[in-house]
Amino acid sequence: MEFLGNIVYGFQVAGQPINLLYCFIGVLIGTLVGVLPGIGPAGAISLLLPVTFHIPPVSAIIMLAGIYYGSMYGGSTTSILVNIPGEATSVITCLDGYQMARQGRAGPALGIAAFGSFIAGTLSVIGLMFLVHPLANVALRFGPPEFFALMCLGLILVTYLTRGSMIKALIMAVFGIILSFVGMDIFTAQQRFTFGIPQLMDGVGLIPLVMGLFGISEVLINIGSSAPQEILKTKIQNLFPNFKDWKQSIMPIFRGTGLGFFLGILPGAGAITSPLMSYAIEKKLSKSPEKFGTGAIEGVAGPEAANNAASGGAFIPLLSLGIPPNMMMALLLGALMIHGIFPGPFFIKKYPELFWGTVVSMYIGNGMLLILNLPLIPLWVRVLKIPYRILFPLILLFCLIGVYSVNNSLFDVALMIFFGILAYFLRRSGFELAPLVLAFVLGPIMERTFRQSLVISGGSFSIFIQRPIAAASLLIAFTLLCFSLIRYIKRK
Amino acid sequence: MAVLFLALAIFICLGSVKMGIGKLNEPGSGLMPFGGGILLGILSLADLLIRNVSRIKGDEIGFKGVRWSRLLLIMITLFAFTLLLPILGYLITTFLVMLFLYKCIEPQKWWVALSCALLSTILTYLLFGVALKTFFPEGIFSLQ
Repeated sequence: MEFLGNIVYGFQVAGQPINLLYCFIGVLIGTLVGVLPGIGPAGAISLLLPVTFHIPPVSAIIMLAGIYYGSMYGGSTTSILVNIPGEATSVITCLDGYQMARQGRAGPALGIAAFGSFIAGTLSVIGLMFLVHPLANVALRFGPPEFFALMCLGLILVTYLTRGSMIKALIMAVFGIILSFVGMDIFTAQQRFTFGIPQLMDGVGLIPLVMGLFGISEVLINIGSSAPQEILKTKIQNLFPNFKDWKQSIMPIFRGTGLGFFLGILPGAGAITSPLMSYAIEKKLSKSPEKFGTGAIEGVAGPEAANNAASGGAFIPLLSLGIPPNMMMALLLGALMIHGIFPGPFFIKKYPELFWGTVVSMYIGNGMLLILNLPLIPLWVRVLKIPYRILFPLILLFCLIGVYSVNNSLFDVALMIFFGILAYFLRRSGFELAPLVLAFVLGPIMERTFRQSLVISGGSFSIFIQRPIAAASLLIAFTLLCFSLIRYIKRK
Repeated sequence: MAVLFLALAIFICLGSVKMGIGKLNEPGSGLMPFGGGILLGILSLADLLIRNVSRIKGDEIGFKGVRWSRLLLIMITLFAFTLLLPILGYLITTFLVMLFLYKCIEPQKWWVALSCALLSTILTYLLFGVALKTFFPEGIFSLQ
């Protein structure tokens, strides 16, 4: 009964006109950035972080969450029509989605992607509601060593799952942690690496950092080498898949949902790996695997469901433990921290309005996305045609004003430009930015829990081995590092 | 880049020692940065060794085919915005910067560049200046 009461309460919060409006804005922007290959959800959330200062925290988080799961929907449109994934999560959709479009079946491909995403999104929200509470109760027994070890594991997993060199990913993670040390020490109030600049006493701001990393650097990368893209000239009709399409797709959708949801909970790249795994599973289970890659609808339905379910699952460790499992969740954690809210085991009890409001808004948002994605597909196709040369000055302007509007500080603007240029060179040199952002957000919590652990144990590192959860987490992290080393030696 | 990170690691370690590392049961402000610096140093060295000694091909996109002149222009424009904003105010600075981006980086026809620059200046002013009440410098023309 309490559970039902909470859901009703969630509907009361999310159903307020202002929250409905922000939910709509979030999913609309999410779909838009999912469609536009030039800017991703991380960039969009970074651009909108300053705006969240001016609105209540519930509305802000509802909007930012909407951008995240909305982009998962939008990414499939470009994969199917242009053969260019709008997001990394939609890469695998290109294989069969684009082939379906070439065969004149763009409508059913887009339709099943939207319906599959809706079913997966809805089921993952239900799963989220059921799992967060028990996990938060378990987390109540965690002390500083457990939190420190879990965060170490999360960071190692993220670096382990990066596409490029793991050493480079680890460099980025350590660099992110070091950046988080800039400013006043939380224990001794001593200034660290501030170089006498008063604006750095509060540390490097999250907003200048992420806007530089994702907004400015994205423009620099794109403008440095712009490749023209061709949109498939196909008539989009029959968006509602027929009975045969549904029969072939329904089980892949359910399997993709389960897989995506549980992979999304794990730290790392759940939303990216789950579509790939879903595709592999469907191909393995199929009676005619040779059809995969030539326009099999199962190859669109399963992966699209998986990436949407993963986005719901990713909220679980953030809201119950306060540990973001991926970069997008790290940005959301940053947005919560801007409002003085720290997720963790007490989050649901302390901020029921925020938790239930956000969760229920995700359910409502999934409905909005279905409405946005089906009738508005011709509009998204037109949006795809907006040339990048018109868009990039606008992205730059939003970065400049957005970061300025937070503190009315030109220093923040200069800092953002510096990080943008740095990120450009880092990306060109093969460094990924996700571990940097995750580590930057986790850095202060990691330092606090590490130093608390040492104080509790009287300076002995054995505290991390004596506690089972901490020991297990560190052991898994160490094993992953060993695996990576073995993989490297074998490759050599 | 690895060399730069190595230099940064040395700088961080030296800075941390100056701050005071403390004891393990009484960690000082420099303990965590020192640990971070050491780790960064080891990883940068490992990256350097892998690339130079074992000559494994890197996964970088590289800088081949980069249009440096355009990149440099954008970077200068961004810093110019920061410098001009307090002098010329929001409306004039934004209009000029947007016009420059539309006309000089990816050249548009004059009417497209002018209308895009004007529209984006007015709309962002309405959103940030009026709706979100951001305070913009007025500049020498007292125009916001």
